[in-house]
Amino acid sequence: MKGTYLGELEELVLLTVGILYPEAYGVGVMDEIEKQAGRSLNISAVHAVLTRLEEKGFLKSKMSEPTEERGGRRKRIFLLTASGKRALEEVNEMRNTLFNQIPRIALQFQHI
Amino acid sequence: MNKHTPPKWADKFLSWYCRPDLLEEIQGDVYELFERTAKENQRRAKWLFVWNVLRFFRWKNIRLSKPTFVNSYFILLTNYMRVGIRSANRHRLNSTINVIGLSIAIGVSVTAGMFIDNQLNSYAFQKNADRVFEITSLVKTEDGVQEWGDTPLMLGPELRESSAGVVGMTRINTQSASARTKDGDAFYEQVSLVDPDFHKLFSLTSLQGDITLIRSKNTIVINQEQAIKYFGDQNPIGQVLSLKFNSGTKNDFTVVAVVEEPINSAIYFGFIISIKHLEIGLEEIPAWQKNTGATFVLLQTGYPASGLQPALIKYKELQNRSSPNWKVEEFLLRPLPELATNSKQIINSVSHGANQNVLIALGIVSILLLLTSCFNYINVAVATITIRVREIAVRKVIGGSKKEIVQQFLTENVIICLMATGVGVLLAYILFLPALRNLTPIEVPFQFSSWQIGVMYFVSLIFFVCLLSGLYPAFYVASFAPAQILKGKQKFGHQSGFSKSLLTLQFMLTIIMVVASLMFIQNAISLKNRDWGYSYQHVVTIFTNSEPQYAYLNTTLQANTKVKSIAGTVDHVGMDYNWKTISVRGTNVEAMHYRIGFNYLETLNLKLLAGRYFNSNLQSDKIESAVITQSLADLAGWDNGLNQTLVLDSNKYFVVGIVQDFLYDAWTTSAPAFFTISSEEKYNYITASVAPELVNEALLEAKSNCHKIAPDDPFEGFRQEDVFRGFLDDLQINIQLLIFVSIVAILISCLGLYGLVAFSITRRLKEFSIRKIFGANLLHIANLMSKDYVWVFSVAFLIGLPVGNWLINSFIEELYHVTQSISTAIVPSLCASIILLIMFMITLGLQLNRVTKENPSETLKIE
Repeated sequence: MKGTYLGELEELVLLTVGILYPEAYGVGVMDEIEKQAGRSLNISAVHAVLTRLEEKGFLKSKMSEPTEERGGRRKRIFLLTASGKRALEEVNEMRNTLFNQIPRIALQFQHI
Repeated sequence: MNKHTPPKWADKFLSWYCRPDLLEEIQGDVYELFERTAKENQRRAKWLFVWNVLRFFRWKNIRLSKPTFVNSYFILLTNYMRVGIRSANRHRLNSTINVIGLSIAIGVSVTAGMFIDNQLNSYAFQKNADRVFEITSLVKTEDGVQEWGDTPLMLGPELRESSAGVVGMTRINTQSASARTKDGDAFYEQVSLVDPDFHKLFSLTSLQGDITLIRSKNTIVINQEQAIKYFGDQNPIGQVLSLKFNSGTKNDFTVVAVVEEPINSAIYFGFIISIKHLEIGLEEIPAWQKNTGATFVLLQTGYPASGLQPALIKYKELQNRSSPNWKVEEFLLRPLPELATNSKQIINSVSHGANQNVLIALGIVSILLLLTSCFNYINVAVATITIRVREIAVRKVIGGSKKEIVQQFLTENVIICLMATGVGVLLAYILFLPALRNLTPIEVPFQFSSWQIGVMYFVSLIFFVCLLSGLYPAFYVASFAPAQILKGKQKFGHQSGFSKSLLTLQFMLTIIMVVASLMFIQNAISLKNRDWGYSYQHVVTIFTNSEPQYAYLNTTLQANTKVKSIAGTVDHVGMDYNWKTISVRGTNVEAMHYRIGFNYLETLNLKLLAGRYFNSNLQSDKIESAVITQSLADLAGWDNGLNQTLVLDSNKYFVVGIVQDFLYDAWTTSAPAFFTISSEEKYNYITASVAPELVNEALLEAKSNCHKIAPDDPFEGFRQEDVFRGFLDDLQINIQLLIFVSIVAILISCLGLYGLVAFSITRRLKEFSIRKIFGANLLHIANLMSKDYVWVFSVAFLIGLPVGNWLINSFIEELYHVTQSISTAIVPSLCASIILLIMFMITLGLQLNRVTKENPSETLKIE
């Protein structure tokens, strides 16, 4: 089934959209990722991921009210959907489960 | 707000490609980033903007289909059409001028296009044209390397036997033979001797009978025209036709098929018989020395022509070993379709192709005419735009974009062009093409060789004419600023540098065409009126086949009291060319040799410059006397040529007389020549001199006498006047064509000028009225009017005259090998200038008439 798998960048963008609630839009997401994760992305890449996530049903969007910025153009505001939230939870859960299975000894570096 | 803006083109590019539903957010983001960066670094911001726009150019963001757009565009188009037709209707004078000018030019170019196309694709009817090749021989002789149509007789059959790629082969050998109609008239006919595969290579349509029966020896295939000529309304199939060949043998042939003659074939097939007849009398010649007129091969589908190379090289060696005097350097493969244009380069070719010079000249002329009429259109369109500037301004104000206005004007232009094309095609059909058909012996059908070429031709013609004529006016109009138009600030329709240079160019083209035509005509007339060096008007000549025929004709003509003088001859002036190498004063020179009978020079009335004619009473004249032309004396370097000697084939001749140079060939002026006396049994012609008004009567009489003695032989008598008939007829055709072209060119130019002047007078009518009130006379106004055009005319004349001269001189040199002196250019140039000036004056005068008739009080009262 296409689209249920969540890529690494997709996960990052999905999280950022959640963080920025309720003001997540293209440039905002891009800035936030740079600030939080230190990854510099091109705006077009962000758009591509956002559209893809919307197609997969993890995000929904609406147009904002026009403001004076951007020459009066509206922004597309992205919001997490229920399935988006579930996808994040699943990923998170799986990470934790996996992490917890690492033997303690493997994480004790002082012996090396 | 930041006053700095991102690069406009990138922004436009984004709006152009982006899907409309995504445009706002994408543009918004890009702008936001731009504004943010611009606060720090504007350059970087611009680069970033462009970069982002380019990065957004992704498949998902690109707008692909525009379903709603097509529909609205169609509505828009119909709307434009309606407006276009209305405006064409409102400005009837201008649209008529445009349509007439364009349609004449289009009519001419359609005619020329069909002519050229039919000439170039004279093999279009051949089904296998792309697989048929003619083999030609590249032969090295003293004159350099020449390409001959003649190929070894053995080559074709050998190739057919040994090469897998060759699936068909025919040799074509043309011979002359005489045949008699049911009424007893005899004619010489061209007979083609072919191989059994002939019908596979040349697809002739069989009207009756079976063309494949040609394989047996005594069968013949004839074309429809010949069937009617020889059998009338009888069924030709099964009839017997008797052919008498030049060798003297006579054979009976049964007609097995009648074929349709292709309209425009470069090879003529009137009578087709089996090649087996060629072998008769050639048995003792070594196989590879025998040649045939042409060899054609049919290759297997997909088999490359280069595949035959090894075999051809092998046969070349065989041939070279066999005939040391005729060494073939290489056998070439010529594709059949190429023969339409190549035939002239191949010596002794069975096909006769088009004259490329004429085709090129026709093409150039039609393009020049098209250009002239397009310039006309541009000029008239730009000049008359004033009438419509308000319309354009209003359109712009209520939101019409530049693009839409350009579209509107182009649509109107397309309407005019389509109308002109329609009228042009009609003109070509009812006027130009029939005229061309009347003029030239070449049959030109009103069609292109294939519908694909026709479609391509018309599409490119309309495209070319529309763009050339419409693009500039459309953009010119669209660039107006509406506010200024509505305020009435901007001046329109005044002649910009661009439209002035167009006008100049247009006049220049006209002048070039007119001067070139006149120069050509002058040259043609001088060629026509050349001194032939003898009196040709009262000379008739009859070709005699045999000695008894000669003797009989001689006695009957002698008995005729109307005949003033009579002579027999082996070679006849104007008919035969016998170049011989003779030795004078120890050096070899080339001269034309005529073997004649006594009294021949007197009959032709060649002017004697020194010495005497031949005297039949002197025995020595029969063997060792020669009469030479002045140019041979000059060539030999004799001050006084009399009693000098020349040596021909180790026979010594004493010069007893010198005659004036004469025209031996229509294409050249004169040649060194000499006459010697030949014995009576060799005579081929009998020449008689009668009063000019009795020439035709004498010919008829000779014909009936000939028929009595040799009923099988066609009568071949001609007036000396007619020996260059073909050449003179061609000249006449050229003159008529050129006169026609000049008239069309002048007409188109004057139409354009008329439109421009009409408009400029309308614009200045008030000014002229006021001037009239204050006492300006007609001359004064005419002066004011023509002031605009004096410069245009002068420049056009100054450039056009020399260019036209130069062009036509190189053409004449190419065609007739005559170099014209500068002085010959004076009369045509003057004539052209005067004709054009008068035409322009008439055009101006017609409009000036309007000014004089106009009542100032009427014109000034309006508003």
